[in-house]
Formats: sequence, structure tokens, C-alpha cells
Amino acid sequence: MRRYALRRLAFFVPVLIITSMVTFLAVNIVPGDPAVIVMGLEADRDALERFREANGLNDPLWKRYAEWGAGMLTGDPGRSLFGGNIQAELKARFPVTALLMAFSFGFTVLFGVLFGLLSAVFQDRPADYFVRTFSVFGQSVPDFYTLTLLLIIPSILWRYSPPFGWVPFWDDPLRAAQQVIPPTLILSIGAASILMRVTRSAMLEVLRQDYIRTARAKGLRERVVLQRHAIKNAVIPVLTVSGTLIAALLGGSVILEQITALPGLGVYTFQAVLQRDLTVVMTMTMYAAVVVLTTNLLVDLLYGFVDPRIRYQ
Amino acid sequence: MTALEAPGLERQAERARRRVVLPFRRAGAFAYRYPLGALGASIIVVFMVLALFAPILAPYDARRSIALPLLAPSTDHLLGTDANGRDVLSRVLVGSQISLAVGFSVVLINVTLSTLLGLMAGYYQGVTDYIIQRSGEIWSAFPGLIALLLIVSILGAPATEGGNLLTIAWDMRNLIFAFSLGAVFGGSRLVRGVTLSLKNQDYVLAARSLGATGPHIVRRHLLPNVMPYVIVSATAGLGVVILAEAALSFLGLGVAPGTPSWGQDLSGRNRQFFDEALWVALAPGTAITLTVLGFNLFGDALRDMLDPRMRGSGRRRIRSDVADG
Repeated sequence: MRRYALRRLAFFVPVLIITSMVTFLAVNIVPGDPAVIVMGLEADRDALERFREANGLNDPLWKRYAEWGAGMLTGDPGRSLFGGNIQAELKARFPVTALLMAFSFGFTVLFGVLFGLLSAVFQDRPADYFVRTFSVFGQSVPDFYTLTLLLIIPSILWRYSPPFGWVPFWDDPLRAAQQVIPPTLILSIGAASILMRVTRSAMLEVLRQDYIRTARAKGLRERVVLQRHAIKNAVIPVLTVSGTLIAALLGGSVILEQITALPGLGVYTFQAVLQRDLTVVMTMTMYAAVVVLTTNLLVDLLYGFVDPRIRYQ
Repeated sequence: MTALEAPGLERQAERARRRVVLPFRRAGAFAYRYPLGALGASIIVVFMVLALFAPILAPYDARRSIALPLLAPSTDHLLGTDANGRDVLSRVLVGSQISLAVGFSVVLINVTLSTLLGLMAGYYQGVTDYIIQRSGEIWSAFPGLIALLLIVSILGAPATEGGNLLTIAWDMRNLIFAFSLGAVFGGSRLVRGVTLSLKNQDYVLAARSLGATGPHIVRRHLLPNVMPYVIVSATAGLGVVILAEAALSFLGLGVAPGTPSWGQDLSGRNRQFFDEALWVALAPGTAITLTVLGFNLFGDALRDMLDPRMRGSGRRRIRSDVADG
């Protein structure tokens, strides 16, 4: 197990470095002079030159990359082009997005796996039809549409608007949950629908294997067959897809924060893209990439943990 | 009449009749076996016809204010008017052109590129494979939405004056480019996997031992066998692209402001009035959902058709196994 883990880790670092280079290059070869973007077209030459000098924009590319990289490693990505302190923004906004992600991913896994299992076990019965119908609808309806409906339907029916806004979770857990649960529940519909379908087909595939027939034939109760023999063998595809869904939910959180005006990292990044605040875009892209790569690594390690056969390959 | 009695002509007529009848019979068999898939296919056909004839079908100019704002649905305006006094039905019809033009162009580009890359990676393996695989891994680490936003914000949100699907697709080239860049690598992984499993099949080995060259084997033996998988993933991909385009337009970075687009009509000034004028939100929202539903249902049926293991229920098969043995 340890050798397997070390090999995966050894691969993680170079991919991270290359990713950071690609991010840096992609953002810095963008046409348009950052000085002009910030100061406007009317700014005079000297002011523009001073801005470039102050922000190190005249330095060669490799030097700027080294400085930015060193800053990222020490946890201080520097200042945004518009003068804001990125680190302070991150500190204030991280809890919001973390909470949104925790809830929406939690709902995704809970409902995706639960209903997927139900659907497979009761194949071709009403429960299965219900789950399949829900799943195909859930994959078709856009999250920004359902979130919009969540805002307007209650206000039409009961003249009630869900209490959107942000209080730090530990100051008032009840109110925070009230604010976070409805939108994250809605956001997780799409991802949960995908997971339902994957869980269902993984389970169906396992349920028609010979060892399941053997387990039933030797008189095991259905509950034991499912718990001990079937579910364990259906975990791998579910794990893989759960990992990829985190990246999808990160994108969804941009839309959620935008609609509900929550002060999270998603809107911060979105606004930075609109303003062409390159330092912020670069930094946030890198953090998102770290999250995705770490998830992939964790999923890889979990494979070895769940299925001992994998680590010998 | 006398000409038809000649045996050669009769055979020709028979062949022509079969060519016309057979596709219908196949479609009928498909609809019987996969009613939901047939439903999806009909939804797709309806929206494609609507998109093709949108400029003729739209009762008003979708871009201009032609009545009072926020009129409720009536015989004059079947789906009412929006916050700027534009006809909602006309906007939904014209909006379908953008969704489908972008969706089909992106999927066409992706399918071509990812099939090519996947076949190369799977058949030749080695360095080609390594480069394609690793660049795919790095690309997949980038948050999709941010990458899309960045590309479109650099290239500029495209506008269109309308016209037919082809001119609209050309107007939307910035958007299409941004989407194509992302999806290539994911698709090539699927084709690569299938190619890997096919390349050691007997018929490939037989072709090679008869002296067939690499390109020949890839073109004549591997490509036809990879196509079913490609078609299924393309059908599902169309729904995904349409959703992504709508999300981007919703955020204000898809199409230029004012352009009739399903995603954009759910955002902007309209949002302030949704609780008074629900139809303004329901019309484009339902249009997106229905279209994507169509592609998903059709794609599911194709997938089932392709994967014989998933046919019927598990229990029944076990019983028939027992009966056979």
C-alpha cells in the first residue's frame, strides 16, 4: 500500500508544476496590457510605466513566474492588480464556498448513492421507474433555472423569500443551515442524478455476476447478499464519478453564489475574470486545480484501499 | 408498364422500394423497443424544425420592443412579453437557433478531433499516447467554467444578426472555439479505451498478417467499430454543451447582450420581474430543459441498444441461465 501511495504522490508533484506553468502562461499571453486595463485608456504614458514598474510587469516572464510561484508556495499570492489583498479576500471568502461545497457534495453522495442502490435493487418496479425518471430530468434541467425557480416560486405562492445572505456558520448554525440547505439541495440535483445512474448501473452489473447467484443459492438472506457481496464490488465506478463531480460542483458554486449573492470564492473569481484582474484569475485557477488534482489523488488512493487487487497492478 | 416487366428493372424497383421502406421499419422497431428513446428523438426533431424555420415561424421581431412590457400570455402574444416589451415566443424560437447551432458545431468538432486522437493514442500507443494522455490529465485539472469564462472574455462575447443555422454558427465561432478546446481530451479517452480493447481482436490480427498497413487497419477495421461509442457519447454531449452555453449566457459571457438566447433571457433585467411575470422565466427554462431531455432520452436508448448486457432484468437472466443449464 505504501509503495502504491508513494508512486501516486510522485506523479502528483510534476503535474502540479506543469499545471502552474500552463496557468501562468495562459493568463499572461492574453492580449491586452494589464496597466491599460486598470488605469484606463486615457492614462498618460508615465503613469502606465510607473504602474508596470510597481507591479513587476516589466520583468522577464520567468522571473515573474518564479516570484508568483514562490508566493503561492508560502501562501501569499500577493496583491490583485486593482490593489486588493488577495490573501485577506481568501480568508474571508473561503468559509462560504467551503460550506456550500460541503453541503452540496454531501447531498450529492447521499441521494445519488441511496437512490441509485434502491433503483438497482428494485429494478423494473415503481421505485426504479421513479428514480430513473428523476435522474433523466435532473440531468436535463439547468441549475441556474432551478435556483431561479427556488427564489421566485415561494415568493409567488406564500409571499416568502428564502433568507439568502451569509452569517458565519458557528455564530448561528441554525440560521446558516436555513440559508445554505435549500440552494445546495437544488444545486446537487444535477450531480446526484448522474451519480444515481452510475450507482444503478454498477450495482446491476454486479448483481448479475456468478458469485451473487452463488451467494443467493447457498441461502444467504438478500440483505447479506447486498451488503456483503454486492455493494462492495460496485464501489469503484461510484468513487470515480464522485471525484469528477467535485469539479462540476465547483463550477456550480459560481452560479449559486452569483444568484444568491453569497460572498464566496466563486463570485470573486467570476468578477476577476470580468475585470481582467489577471493575478486573481491566475491564483484562483491554481487553487481550483489543486483541489481537483488532490481529489483525483485521493480517489486513486481510495481505489487501493477499497480494492486490494488494484495496488498490485 | 412494359419497361417495368423487364427483370433487371423490376429488381431495381424492388431495391429502391426497400431503400425507402427499410429505414422506416427500423425506426418503427426502435420506437417499439425504446418508447422513451423515440420520445427523445421526436423532441429533438421538433426543436430542429423550429430552429430551421425560426425566422419564418417567429410572429414578431425578437430583437425589438413591439408591445408594452410584461404583458400576460394572450392571443396576440402566445407567451406574453418580457421586461423590455419583446415577444417571448419569438425570442424562444430564435434562441433555439443559437443553442442548436452551437451544440451541433461543438459536438461535430469534438467528435472528429477526439476520435482521431483516441484512435492514434490507442493504436500506436508509445510517445503519441503518452503525450495525449498527460495533456488530457492536465487539462482536466483546470476548472471548466473558469477556463470557458476566461477564453470568452478574451475573445469577446459573440453577437449575431440572425439568419440560418450556418451563418449563426459562424457568428458564434468564439464560443464554439472555447467549448471545443475543453471537450477534446475527455472524448479521446473513451475512444482510446475502446481502441485498446479492439486492436488485439482476431480480425485486426488477421488484417495485419495479410499485410495491411496501420492507417488502413485504423480506417477500415477500427473506425467502424469505434463509431457506435462515439455516436452515443456525442448524443449525450449535445445536451451537455447546450446546458453549458446556456449557463455561460446566463452569467452574461455567452452571447452579446440583447441577442435572443435561452440562457440570457433568464438573467439581466428580466430577473427583477419574475415574481410578477413567471412566464418570462418559464418559457426559456422549459425550452432548455426539453431540448436537453430529448438528447438525454435518445442517448440513453442508444446506449442500451449498444450494451447488450444491460438488456432486460438481471433476475430474469439468472432464471434463464438456470433453465439452460
